[in-house]
Amino acid sequence: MKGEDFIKAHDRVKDFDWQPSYVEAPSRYRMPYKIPAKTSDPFRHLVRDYCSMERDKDDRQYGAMSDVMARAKMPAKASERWTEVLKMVLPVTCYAEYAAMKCTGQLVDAVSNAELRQGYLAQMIDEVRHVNQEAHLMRYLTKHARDPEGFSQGVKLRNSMFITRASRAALDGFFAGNPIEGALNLQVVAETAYTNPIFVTLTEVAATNGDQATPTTFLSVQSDEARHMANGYATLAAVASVEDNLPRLQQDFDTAFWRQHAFLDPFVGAVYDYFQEHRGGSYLEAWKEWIGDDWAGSYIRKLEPFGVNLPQHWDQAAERIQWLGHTAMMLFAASWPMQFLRVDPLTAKDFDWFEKKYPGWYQHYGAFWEAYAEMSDPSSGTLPLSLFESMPTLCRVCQMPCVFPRPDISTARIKTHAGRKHAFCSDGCEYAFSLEPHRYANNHAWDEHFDGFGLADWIESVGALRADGRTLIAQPHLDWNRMWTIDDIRKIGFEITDPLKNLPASGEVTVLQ
Amino acid sequence: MSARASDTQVKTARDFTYIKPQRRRLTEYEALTVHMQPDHLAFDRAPGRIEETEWYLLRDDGTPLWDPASTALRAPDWFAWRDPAQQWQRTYVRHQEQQETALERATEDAALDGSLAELDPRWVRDVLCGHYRAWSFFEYAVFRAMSPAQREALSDTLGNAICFQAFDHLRHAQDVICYLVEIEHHCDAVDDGLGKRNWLEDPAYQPARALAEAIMTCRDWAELMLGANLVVAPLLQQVAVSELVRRSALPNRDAVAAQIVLTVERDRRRNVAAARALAELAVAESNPDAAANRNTIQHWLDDWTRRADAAAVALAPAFDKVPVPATTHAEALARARAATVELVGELGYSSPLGGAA
Repeated sequence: MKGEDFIKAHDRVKDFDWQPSYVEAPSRYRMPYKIPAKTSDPFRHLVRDYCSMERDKDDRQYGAMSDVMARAKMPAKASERWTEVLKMVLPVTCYAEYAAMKCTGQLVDAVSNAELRQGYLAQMIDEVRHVNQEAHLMRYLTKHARDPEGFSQGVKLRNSMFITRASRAALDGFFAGNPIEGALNLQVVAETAYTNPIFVTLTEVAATNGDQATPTTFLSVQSDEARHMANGYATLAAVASVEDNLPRLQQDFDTAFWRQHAFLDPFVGAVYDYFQEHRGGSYLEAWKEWIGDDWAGSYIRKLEPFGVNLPQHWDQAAERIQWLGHTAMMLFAASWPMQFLRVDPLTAKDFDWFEKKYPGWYQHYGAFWEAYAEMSDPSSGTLPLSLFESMPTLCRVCQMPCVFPRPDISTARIKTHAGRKHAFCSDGCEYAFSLEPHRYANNHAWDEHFDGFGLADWIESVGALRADGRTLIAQPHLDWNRMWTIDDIRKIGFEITDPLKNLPASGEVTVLQ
Repeated sequence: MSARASDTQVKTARDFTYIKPQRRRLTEYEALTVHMQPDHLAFDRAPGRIEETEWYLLRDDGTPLWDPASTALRAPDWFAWRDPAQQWQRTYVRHQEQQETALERATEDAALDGSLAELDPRWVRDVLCGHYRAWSFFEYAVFRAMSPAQREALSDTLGNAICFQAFDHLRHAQDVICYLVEIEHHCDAVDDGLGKRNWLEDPAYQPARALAEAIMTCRDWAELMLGANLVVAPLLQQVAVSELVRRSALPNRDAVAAQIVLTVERDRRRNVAAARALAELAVAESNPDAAANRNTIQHWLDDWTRRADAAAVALAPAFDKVPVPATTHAEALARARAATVELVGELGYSSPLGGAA
């Protein structure tokens, strides 16, 4: 179908909605917004074109992976340091896509606009596509990577590890609240701001490190994202066109931005900067380009005349970004037996790169990484966690440690609400809690959940052991001849504790020293 | 200190170890689908002393993100459900692309060989525009309803299957539009607005519209999946589409309309099989709530059957407008009723249309 016929068909597709007269048809989701019936169309494909386009893309991606790459044993030739981090990344991105699919289901129901609904449907199937693509990559690496342990059970382990578990606190935001809140979290923030640094720039890092499978998958994923960003823009423009919506819109936008930033920036920053073996750009550089300049400087600024402003805590986020990934990675490496991947110690070359890309890095993190390398052999009988007085308490809202941006300049804010103590890592998280405490107040952070577990017992109970039943999946190095076993951990006798128990009922405290 | 893990006698798994396959080996469908949705009751329940459900962010009304109350049915493990067709996105989109390509070519061929120009204007105006285009609104309503249902479904396997069904229905609705746009080049009888007018005003379509609006407000994803596929599909969609459009199309020299419906029937068979698998899971012997579920499903089937049957009965005037009749409304309705009774009977349910459990 071409030209005028296509436009005619598309116009008729947009006329499918009608005003029900036999039942009252309120949306099943609470909608504190008015949506205008007419909007600009973000997506002018019919189902027919969509299927054709996606099939071509699928054939290219899966064909390349199953033919050339697998036969040439390319996954096994990729940098081992880099490949390890995919064990943690892929279970998280799979869930992000899955949560996105749920978001679009809500939008179809709640946004009474047939034009937008067509776009949401295509995105709904896209998100199933992305879940399948990323699960396929995870399975592909299980089959072909040098070390399959961690890939083969990553989805099972993701809910037991404190960092991957914290991803839920951000990604659930795609569909936990009202549908527009979900669209703001997903389409306006996560997809428009963060998918470029994740699916485009990060794939350059992957390719530089010999990993062709991830770019092949992620770039195919990203080819759908432009439509999702258009969906987000059209949704946002539609909501912002009704003046009564603006106060609530800004509030939901503020919390959506902070919810995504609080997890994604520390997480992606750590992934980006600490697993490159053959080094290129930094996350800070990618962030400034894609999120600082493109998203905040262009995309959001253009909405200001319509009454949508940069998120309330944007300046704090921009200020924190320099250190978030480093602090997250320090904690991640310090708690390496609680993870399910191998974390390679940094080399002198890495040290130089970090100091060049993040001036002042060595002063704050250098000593830790030197100690980490020294403790990487089981014969040391020591865990890097011993470098700290205790594990940091976790934030009730984002579930991340209250140590950001950098341990020496951060405090946990402790509050008691309805008889229960809560810690918050930042103004943004505290603000989100103050708006709707009932959505957070009963959850249990990782350390509350596992308080009192011996570390060795915990590792066994969550199943973070290799097939021999005694060697840890996680290791603090890539050396096959110095693998830590559960016996090594048991000898150390480390116990997981909940630091919040011993903190005062209110006030600000430094939690990692 | 251990030696290298691969030096041990234990073979390291080269596939996912966290999914229990339904059959002997893990299928690609299972590997790419199962446990993508958090399962706070079992798979994702972390060991520990805290027994409460673990949600980090509740819905704004304080309820959990996936709520057992989203369906009246109870099952110990919704994640055990498997799509009998084993569809994942790639296989599903490939299938739909093949169907759409076939329809596009068939339409193009019919335009070029003069078939579209030879269509009886009464067939075009009264059946394709007046009836089939009106029916496209019903399909759209099912798409609308299935979209939030996939969000609420209590497992990934169920959610994905419902998501694909949503797509099926919008595809069907759009195919009707695309076909009429092409016919407009060859026949002056096209009145695209007639379908919506009939849908909104013609008494023959009001029971169908009432049902469509009820479907859009159905809050129970399992009820929707069972009602739409075990009742509406074999009864109402059979009469409105298979009998009235597909069966009549060839006598009225319209091969394309027949082919559109054939693709829809292929999708329908997949969705009926999925609903049957859901009904069977709900009353499995191992389910302590099987008896209550059976009663609930019987109640749903009865309720949906009454409404779908009323809608199918009301379509009689549409049959009278077929220029070269292939069947009567009474015959079509009788066949559809018998098929519906047989389908629910195979699952052990009675039907208000006759037949005992």
